[in-house]
Amino acid sequence: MSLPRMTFKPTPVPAAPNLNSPSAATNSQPKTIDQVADALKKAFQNSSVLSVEKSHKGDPYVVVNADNLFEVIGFLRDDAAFQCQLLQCISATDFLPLKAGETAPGASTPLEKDTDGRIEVLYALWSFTHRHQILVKVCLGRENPKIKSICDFYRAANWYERECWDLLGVIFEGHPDHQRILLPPDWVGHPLRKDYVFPQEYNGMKVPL
Amino acid sequence: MSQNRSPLAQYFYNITETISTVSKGMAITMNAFLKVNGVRKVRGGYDYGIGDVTIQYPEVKDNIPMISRNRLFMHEEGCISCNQCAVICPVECITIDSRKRESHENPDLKTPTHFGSKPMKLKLLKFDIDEALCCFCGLCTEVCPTECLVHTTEYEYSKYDRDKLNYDYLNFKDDNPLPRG
Amino acid sequence: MVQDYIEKNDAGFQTQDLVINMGPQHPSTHGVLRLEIVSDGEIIKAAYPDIGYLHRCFEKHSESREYLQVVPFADRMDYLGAMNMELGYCLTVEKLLETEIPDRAQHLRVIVCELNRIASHLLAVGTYAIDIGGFTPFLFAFRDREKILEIFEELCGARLLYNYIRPGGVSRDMSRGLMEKTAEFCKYFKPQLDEFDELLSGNYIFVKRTADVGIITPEIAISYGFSGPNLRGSGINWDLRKDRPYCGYEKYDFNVAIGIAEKGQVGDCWNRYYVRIKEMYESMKIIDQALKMMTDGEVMGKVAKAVKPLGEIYMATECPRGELGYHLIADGTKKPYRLKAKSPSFISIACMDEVCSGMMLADVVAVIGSLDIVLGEVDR
Repeated sequence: MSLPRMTFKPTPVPAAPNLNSPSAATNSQPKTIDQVADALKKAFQNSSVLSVEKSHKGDPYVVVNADNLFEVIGFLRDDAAFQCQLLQCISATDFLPLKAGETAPGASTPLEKDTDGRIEVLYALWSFTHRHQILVKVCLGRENPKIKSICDFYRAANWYERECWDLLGVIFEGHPDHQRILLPPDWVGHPLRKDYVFPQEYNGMKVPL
Repeated sequence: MSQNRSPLAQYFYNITETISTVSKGMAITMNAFLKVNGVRKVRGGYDYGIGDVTIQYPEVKDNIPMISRNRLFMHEEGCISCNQCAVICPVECITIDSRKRESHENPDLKTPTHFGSKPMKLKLLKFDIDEALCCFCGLCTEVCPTECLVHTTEYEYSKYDRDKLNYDYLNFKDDNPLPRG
Repeated sequence: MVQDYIEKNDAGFQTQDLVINMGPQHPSTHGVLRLEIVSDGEIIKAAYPDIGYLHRCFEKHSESREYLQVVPFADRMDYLGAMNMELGYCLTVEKLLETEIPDRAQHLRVIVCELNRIASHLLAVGTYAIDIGGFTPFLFAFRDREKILEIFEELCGARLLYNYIRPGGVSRDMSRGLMEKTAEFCKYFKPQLDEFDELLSGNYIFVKRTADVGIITPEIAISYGFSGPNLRGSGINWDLRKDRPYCGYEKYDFNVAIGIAEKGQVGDCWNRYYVRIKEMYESMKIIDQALKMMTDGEVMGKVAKAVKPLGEIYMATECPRGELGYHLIADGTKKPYRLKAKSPSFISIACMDEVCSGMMLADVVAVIGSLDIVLGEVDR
């Protein structure tokens, strides 16, 4: 008898790194974000790397074309120079379009560079062998944000992508189990959007004020 | 960790292993039962009998430290209506209403000395704290400039009705005993 | 054997898969977790976790609260390891502020976080024992945990949700009497932990129920994004306190506890449980060293009450259940623009479907207990 739903893709997983050997710490060669961007530009001849952001305080990240994200993540996982075995987080953010004459708050952050609304999805990858953290970002439109799912590479992506769909409405193509995870299945709307209006009642129950 | 034993030897090994490990555990329990093992001294030094780790609540109550963050209490004569507590509250459970003091209402009034002797320019009309919403974080007591808003050690104030937990500190009427501290 | 009989004799049995709910209200699921189990009798074919019963909208709330007001909300995600949640959040904010945290505050932070780690692990192993069926170790663990909660109550006024670690430092200082009480606790606790270990870890019934059950190989563990004791129970030597140190952890001398299969196999439930026991010994070492290295000074750095950081960061720290990550986008105002909390328990439950297929129903309880999930952290 077949199962009602198949929640994970049984794709092969790469071998585990050996961290117990004494040379594990010395053999690690962490890469900077510029080296990541150069390697991606060399590996993908088309314009996959849109920009490298490192002028802000905090962690630098590389912005990648949404059409190439699937191959980029596969490259970062399997290439010997990067070997990002762990997917730490997939986090999505909503940016509303700025109205005429309005500037985004803050100075010299990527927030004020784009005046159209967008949804940014951040992929945080970590490598045990090289001990570097690589942050990859994708910018999607607000009306119909679609991107290819990376469940083939990491089993962890399954639930992270379900959460992004649930709270922000990002559609992941090829996801084996694309449904809401935190909110009830009959909830309407995506709460973490900045223009979300809280409903006054749900299934006949009024929201107490 | 598997070992090369014949099924018969493995059978008897299982039995002896079970008896030895389970009896080790039972010996620990029996020791704790028989020995005077850790007479529980409640803070304050009160002795609650031999071998007990628990106390017989509610007949016997533990002494909790004075900085324990339980129900709030506001001393009305110390409040200068600065609104800091209402602003910092993460769950917005404090409601404050005030207006400027008229000239016939003693505009040079100051708070008592143990509340810092600060001028009370505003007259407090309403000060409600909804203890059902309060998350007991202590931020409001930290920002209060006169320290008239304090956490007491009162933790037994359950009510049958949620509205009764909305305390009006200007007309404070509570059927619990007076707050300690 | 039954299959052969059916095929040989064409008895034409009609079986049907049983769909049962290990429902939101269940004593062994450590919170409101619902598992939809599709089983063929006792053997499980699939276990679909259904979460969201404890969703309290932490991320949406934090967009409308100032940075100081988010700290009580951050506590309440993993209510058993609240100090570690606050520490992760405050380190994230401080990295963007680039302020200097006083030494005394760093030592205090390490002491309270390690004490909280011991308290959280005690609860994990105590409730694991009671899920398996042994009622005694539960009270032994809680007796010792009570002492830690008394220390916390004298330190900051609350037993479980502290609001103690703030961006810039800590809120109150620890008095000399309390430092002596903590040192005395470590001396008291070590023989108690030896006794607990002797009571439970070698017990044949416990070993039979947990060893060789729920084996998660290191490759699958890494692919699922595991971290913390779950990953170390599968043999991977990875601890964020040693490999990406924060808050002064590089000054302390401690070992990383890995599952080396004293009983059972690497990656099974028993090894994940035993890693937690070994970690408690290491935490006591760290507390002793921190108390000796404590210096005098301020406990709060020079930060405004309403901080205004700017930038974007993803910062990971080690909480008792794994790697806790905060992704903060700060736009220079008093409130965060976006704060996402990546909790380790969220991704620990994700593996239930793959790990539980093929095992018996009673083993699901063993697997959930060994993964040490807290539903407040899963649902945020």
